Amino acid sequence: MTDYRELSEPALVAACVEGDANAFGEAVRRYRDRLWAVALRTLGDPEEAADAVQDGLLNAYRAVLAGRFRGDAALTTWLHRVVVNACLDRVRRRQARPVTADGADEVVDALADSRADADVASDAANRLDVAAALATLPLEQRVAVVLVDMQGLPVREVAVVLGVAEGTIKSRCARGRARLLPLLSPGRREGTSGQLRASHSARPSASGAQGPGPAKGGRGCET
Amino acid sequence: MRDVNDPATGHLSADTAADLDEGLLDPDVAAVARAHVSACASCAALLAQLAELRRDLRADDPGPLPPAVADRLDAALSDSARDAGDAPSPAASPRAPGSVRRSGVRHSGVSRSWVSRSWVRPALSLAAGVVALAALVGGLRTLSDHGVGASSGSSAASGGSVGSSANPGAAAAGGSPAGRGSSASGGIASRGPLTAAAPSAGPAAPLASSGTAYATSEAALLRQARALLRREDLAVAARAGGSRFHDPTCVQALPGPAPVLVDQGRYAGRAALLVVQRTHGGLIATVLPRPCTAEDAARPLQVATGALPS
Repeated sequence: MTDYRELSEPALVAACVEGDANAFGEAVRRYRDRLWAVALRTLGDPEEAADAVQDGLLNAYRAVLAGRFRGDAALTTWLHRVVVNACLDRVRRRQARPVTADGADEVVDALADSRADADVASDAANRLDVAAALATLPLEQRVAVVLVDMQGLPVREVAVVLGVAEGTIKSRCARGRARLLPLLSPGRREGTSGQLRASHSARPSASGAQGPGPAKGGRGCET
Repeated sequence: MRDVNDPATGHLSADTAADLDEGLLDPDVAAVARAHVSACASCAALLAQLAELRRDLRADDPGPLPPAVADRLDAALSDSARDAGDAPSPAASPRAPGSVRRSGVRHSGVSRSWVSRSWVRPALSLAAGVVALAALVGGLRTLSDHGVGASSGSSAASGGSVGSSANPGAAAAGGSPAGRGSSASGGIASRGPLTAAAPSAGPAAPLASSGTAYATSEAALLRQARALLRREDLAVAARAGGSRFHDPTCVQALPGPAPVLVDQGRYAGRAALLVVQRTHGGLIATVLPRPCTAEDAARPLQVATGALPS
C-alpha cells in the first residue's frame, strides 16, 4: 500500500494528475499551514481566512477528481493560486464593508484564542502591527508582499500564481515595502502604534485604498 | 548626472529606496542612488530599515491552522456532504479517524479508493474534512452522470488567473448547485430583505457579516435585530455566498424555530453571532460567542424577545 507521506513532490503531482484523492489529501497535509497563513495575512480575518481555505481546497479537490489538474505547475504553486483566488473573491465581495480598528481587535482576539502559549499578549500585539499595516496596502501589493516577503515564495513562482510578469511582482513588493516602512520599521514602531490604529480605523482596506505615504523629511543628512 | 533625490527632502524617497533595494532602477539611476547612499547616513539607514523590514516580515509567524478552525471545517464539509444527499457513512466520517471507506468511483478509467488512514485527526483534520467531500463529489458525479451537470468547474481550480472569475460568488462557493446545497435549500437565500427570507437557516446557512457591536440591553438588541432584518445589503451578501463557517450544531441547538438571520458581529468586545428567530408574532434575538458550539447555545450571552417589525 502506498505511503503517501513518503511520496516525493513529483510523485505526488503525478498521483494528483491521476485523480488520486489520497494524494490530494497528502498535499493538503503538507501545505495547509502555509495556505492558512496566506489566507489569514491576505484577509486579516480568521473566519474569512478559514472560509477561503475551505473554498479553495474544495475547488482544487474537484479539479483533481475531474482530471482538470494537469500537473503543469508545482503543487504548492497551484494550491497557493486556488487559495489566493478564493481570498480575492472574498475581498471583492466585502469591498463595501470597511475594516475597522474593531476588526483588527478581532484578529488579535482570534489569534489569542487559538494560541495558548505564554507569549500570546505580546505576540498578538506584534501581529496586530503586521495585520493592521498589511490592511493598509492596496490589495495587489498586499498579496505580493504576503507571498514573496512573508511566505518566501520565489518571485518567479508568485508571478505564476498571480498570472502577471515577474517585474510586476517586484514592483508591487517594492511599493508595498515603501508603504509598510513607516508603519513597521523597528525604529518607528513604538511611536506609531496609536497612529497606526487611528489611520487603520478610517481606511477601507480591501478597496485598494492608499495607505499613508512614506515618511519624508526629518532625516538628517550630512551631505 | 540625474538627480534621484526627493526634491522636498534632498534624500531618496522611500519608493526610490525600495526600488533600489529591489533592483528595479535603471543601472545609471541605481549608480547615482548608490553614490548618494554611500555619502548619506540617513539614506543608508533607510536601506538598512528596508532590509530589516523584509527580515521582520519573513519572521512573522501566524501559527498553524488552529485546531478549532480545522474542527469547524470538518463539520462544515461533512455537513455539506450530508446536505447533498450522500452523507458519508459513520465509518467514513472524519469523526471516525482511522476508518476506511472504498467507493470504487471511477473517472477516466482510473479506479480510486478512499482510504482515510492517512487523514488522521487532529493533525490532519482539514484533510479529513476533504475526505468527507469524497462522498459529496461522488454524489455530484452520480448526478452528472444523469445529466444534472453538477460540476461547473472553477477558474481558480482549473488554472485561471487571479481575478479572472466572472462570477466570484459561484467560484468561491464551489461552482455547483450541490456544493451550495445547504444554502440553496434554506437559509437567507430568497430575494428581498431578510424579513422576506425563507424562514430556515440550514446547518451551513450563509452568514451575514454586519460587524455590528450587539447591544447589551434587550430593547436595544431587538432594535438592532429588526434593523438587520431590513438590510437588503446583508441579504445580498448572504445570497452571494457569505461566510458559512460556523459550527452548525450551535445554531441547531437553539430551541425554537429555524433562524431567519445569523449575523457576525461583536458583543462586549468579543466576536459573536446574532441569531434571530421568528415566532408567531414575535422575534427572538440570541447573542452567542463565536466560535460557537452546541454547549454555547445553552449559555447565550444575551437573549431578547419582542414583537415583529411593523
